[in-house]
Amino acid sequence: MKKILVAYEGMVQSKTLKVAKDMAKDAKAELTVIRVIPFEQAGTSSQTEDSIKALGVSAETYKATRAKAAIKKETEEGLESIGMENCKVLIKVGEPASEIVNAADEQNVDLLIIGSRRLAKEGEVQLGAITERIIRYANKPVLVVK
Amino acid sequence: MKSILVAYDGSENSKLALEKAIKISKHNETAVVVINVIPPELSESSLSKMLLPGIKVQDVIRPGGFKASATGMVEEAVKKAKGDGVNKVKGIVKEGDAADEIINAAEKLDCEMVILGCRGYAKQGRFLLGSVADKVVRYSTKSVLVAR
Repeated sequence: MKKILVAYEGMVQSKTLKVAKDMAKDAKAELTVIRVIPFEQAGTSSQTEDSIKALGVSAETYKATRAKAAIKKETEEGLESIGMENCKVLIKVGEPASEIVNAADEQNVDLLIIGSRRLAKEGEVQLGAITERIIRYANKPVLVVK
Repeated sequence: MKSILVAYDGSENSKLALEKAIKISKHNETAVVVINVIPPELSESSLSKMLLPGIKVQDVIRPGGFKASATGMVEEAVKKAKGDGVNKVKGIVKEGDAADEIINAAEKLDCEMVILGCRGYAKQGRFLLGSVADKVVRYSTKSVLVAR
């Protein structure tokens, strides 16, 4: 195993990250962390539409780029706090499931690791919608961490 | 010592699953358990007699035929794993619903991970995820690796 991609949703204490870290260490694989910002959350700017237009970019691109930079920094700091500063960080804007599936293909990874998002309802395990879509549409092996 | 459970039915995808298990086990020296499940309608249970009331299963197949071939298949997988350098590996054959038996076995063995193929013998391209894989991913309390 050479390349592992792990989907990260902003919680450094998640089991998914720990599993990915251990597996990458055991296999001496290159670990990439991907975080996807959904379109609707990409806009965090207080800039007005007109001032953005003056820069010559669309409002959507502007907001997405700003959010991307901020989240990349936050992610890198989070990873550093748990001793994962050596992995590559990939920030994408768009629909999470398709961005993750595409990134796995682009990077030609050997394994994609995702969380399952468990809803604690008395022994019942439910998969998140994004998890489910990734398992179905990924072209690479997928590990669902529970 | 934690272990990895591999669902093996001889299909191409299950072979990929076995290879993945061998790789992971070699890296961190976990034990590997290969499981094959015989569907209830093929085993000689009272249920199969109920499903096929007009046919005596014993007349059509030689006794224990499916169990023997399943055991043979699992042994082959075990041999391959051993040949590839996995020390702790064993095989088990169960009868019943494939997904249920895989989930139960994972629970019983308290394994670290279940590895299975994305589909078994279903026609190419017809489903993105087989029914067994789907059920195991959904209901297993253990981590599941879907091999492709």
